[in-house]
Amino acid sequence: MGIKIGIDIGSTHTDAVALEGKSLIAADKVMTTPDLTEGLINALRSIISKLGERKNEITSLMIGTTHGLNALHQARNLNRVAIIRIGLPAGEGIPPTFDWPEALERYVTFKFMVRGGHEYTGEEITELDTNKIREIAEEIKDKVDAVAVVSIFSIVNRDHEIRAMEILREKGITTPIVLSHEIGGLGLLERENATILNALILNIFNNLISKLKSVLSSMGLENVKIYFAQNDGTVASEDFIRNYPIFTVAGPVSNSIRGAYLLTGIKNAVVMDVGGTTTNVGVLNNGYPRESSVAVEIVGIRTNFRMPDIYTIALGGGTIINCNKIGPESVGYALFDKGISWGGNILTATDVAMVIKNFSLPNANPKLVLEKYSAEYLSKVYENMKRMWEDAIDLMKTEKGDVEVIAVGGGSIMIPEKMIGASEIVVPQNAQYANAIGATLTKVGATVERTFSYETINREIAIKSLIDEAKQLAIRAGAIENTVEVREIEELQMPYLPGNAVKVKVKVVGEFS
Amino acid sequence: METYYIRINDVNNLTAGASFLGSGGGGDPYIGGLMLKRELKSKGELEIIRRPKSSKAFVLGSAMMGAPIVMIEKIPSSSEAKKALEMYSYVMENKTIDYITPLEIGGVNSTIPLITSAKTGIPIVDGDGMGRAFPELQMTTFYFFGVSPSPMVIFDERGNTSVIQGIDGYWTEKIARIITVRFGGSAYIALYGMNMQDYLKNAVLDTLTLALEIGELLNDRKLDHVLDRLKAEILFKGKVIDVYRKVEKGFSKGYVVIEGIENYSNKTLQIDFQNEFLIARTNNEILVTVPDLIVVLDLFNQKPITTDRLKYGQKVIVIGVPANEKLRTEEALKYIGPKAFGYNIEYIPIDKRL
Repeated sequence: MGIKIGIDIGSTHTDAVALEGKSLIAADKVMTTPDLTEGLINALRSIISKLGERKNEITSLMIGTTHGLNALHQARNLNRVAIIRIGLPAGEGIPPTFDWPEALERYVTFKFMVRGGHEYTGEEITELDTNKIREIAEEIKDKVDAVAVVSIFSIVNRDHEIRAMEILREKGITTPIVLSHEIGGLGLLERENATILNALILNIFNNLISKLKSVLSSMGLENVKIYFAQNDGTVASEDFIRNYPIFTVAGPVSNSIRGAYLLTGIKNAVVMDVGGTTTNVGVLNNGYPRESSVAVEIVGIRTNFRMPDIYTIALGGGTIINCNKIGPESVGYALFDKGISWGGNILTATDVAMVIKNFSLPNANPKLVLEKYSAEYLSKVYENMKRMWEDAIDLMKTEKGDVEVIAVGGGSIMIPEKMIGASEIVVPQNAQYANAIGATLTKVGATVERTFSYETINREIAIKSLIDEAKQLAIRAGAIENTVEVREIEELQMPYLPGNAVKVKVKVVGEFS
Repeated sequence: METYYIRINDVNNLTAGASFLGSGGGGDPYIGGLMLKRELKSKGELEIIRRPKSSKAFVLGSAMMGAPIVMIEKIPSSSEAKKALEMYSYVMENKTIDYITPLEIGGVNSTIPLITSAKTGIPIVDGDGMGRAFPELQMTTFYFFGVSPSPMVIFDERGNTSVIQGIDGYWTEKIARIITVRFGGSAYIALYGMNMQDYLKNAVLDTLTLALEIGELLNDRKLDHVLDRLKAEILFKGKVIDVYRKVEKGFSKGYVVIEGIENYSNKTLQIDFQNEFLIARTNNEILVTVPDLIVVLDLFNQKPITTDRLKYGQKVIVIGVPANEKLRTEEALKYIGPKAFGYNIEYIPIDKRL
């Protein structure tokens, strides 16, 4: 059957699990390191050593990481990128990277706007200026690490993006070329931004993958397949993520939502992932995270690719309670030094919860809390914590009535047994490893979004072509061909436009080999 | 004649105010706002003229026409509206255009005329033809009081141009709509040429200033001041529990149902919309109807929510705003009263209903 390793890099802890089928055979937690990689390698070495001789049964490694997001936040070690926007004479009103933060904008070393692009109907705005693309190739040769290409309405017609790439290749550009129709949906600036961000972090992931391979190899593990958790709660192979690393930026958040499903079998629920500093509240929709319908900002840049719909409140295990005020400050991973139950002098959410819910944690003595604070005070604080969680549930609910709530994460033990709006509160076994387990047990996935005019293309043919495209993408991402199935088809009519213009999104998932 | 200047730091206030006055429609002014910022980055500032004295001066309207959803993908080149203006002048035997006016102040069309002004150097006059947003070309105070939208120039980014001489506002709208679709779903227009005397008599005046003021208050989260400034009322607070939408004849029609919280618990509010919010009612009582403005704000960040962004679970504040007096006249109500949108409801001003 083989053993799967799952690793999830959180802000304070990096969790690692080893699973055989669905049973957990080993688990470990190490401190997350500032560069993330070191902590990841530590967790990897540690979990593999726990397996002893069985390490040779490891077939695959799944990683949920914020490497991409971190690199963009720090604006360090990024690629030099050229952006080519195709669409003139349209599009000139707002040049590429116009409203970007300067620290990131300086990596976008060449910006071009070229004639071409399409209408929402799929017809050309103008012919593609192929000569200009050739000139650009001469100009950027050996001067950039990656090229981003975006064409107006490429989600209706991608011909100009593909043609531009072919010309660049013919002219000897050997760096990665990222095409926007493979990255995002409707909205030129948002899709362009996501495409450039993807190009900026390509090398970060290349290096990470190389490093992981050499660590595995140094431990005598040559044939372990590496997968990365994606924003939509599925995973994709290293080869795929090498080209599309931006799809991993919200991987860890999605993992815990997905993990909540895999641990409980509950397909539709509100999921509360309680960590050290925050509670992330998301929604399970048919077993996968519900996606946000509005533009999502990443490091201050508007993008529109698929991200989970998450509401975050500053309430976690390490949250500091000060004179009735709950947070937003947190002691984070210093909880076991600074929390009152551990002999420290800061009242934390965990201290309060231990007294009220009458549980204890290793090396903790909740009686120390009662020596300093009255029971009435503590229950008042806990009432307020409860209200914060209840408000978050209410905000994320999608329909009237009570919903099932699943609590996961290291702090899930603090969650009350009853809450307003919750029909039932489930805290599954191994809840603290939900994220790593989520990464390990999930499926390989792919999503494609296109816009069609059902007057020019038959609806069935349009959807079928999209399903085929998504299936091919899933296979490239590591799915076994005959296991790939459609998980979701979403059609959205576009108002104001004749020709029955419809935006269609198809998601497919499959088993990995 | 008073003037004042808009600078790059004012743009976020303008777009916030324009979203508010859009009454759920008019499109997200995000793209227009960025284009305007780009102009102001190089120009520094733009002159806005309040109440010009020269009664013979010639004013021309400038706007984008079409689907906001196309504009977020096919971003303008930003000189289309300027070229439409130049073509208008050419068609009218080199007519001098002294001032530019917005047609509507809600949504994306609050920014387009400013961009045209920056591109041409022709000053902009502080007013518009709607005092809010409406979906069609003839729904302006200019038209209600006898100014023709024709001749109208319609232009696309490639340079294709049409000149429309419609027999009335409806025909001009219908013809322009078809051309806009053929141009790819978005086009840029110059229309409603008139002299300043007619403009001052017919326009809803000082609305750029109004949008800037409201936007600044909203961005500072001073909703109470916004209500005072507009003599507006909070109609309802609650949570969206149902959104029904269908696309009919190119318009997004539907309604939203909001379940009350706080003082409004045990009540529900329904708002019908057709691009913009039209009618707000509780079980048996109509609270507000078009042309008075119905504005839906996010309860937490107080940002206006457009009709296409409504979704289950949003917590919202609903506000009713009295429309400008020019929109409440008998002539105007023929075109923009509840009956014009297919409702068998008399228009009673919000101040008399509540």
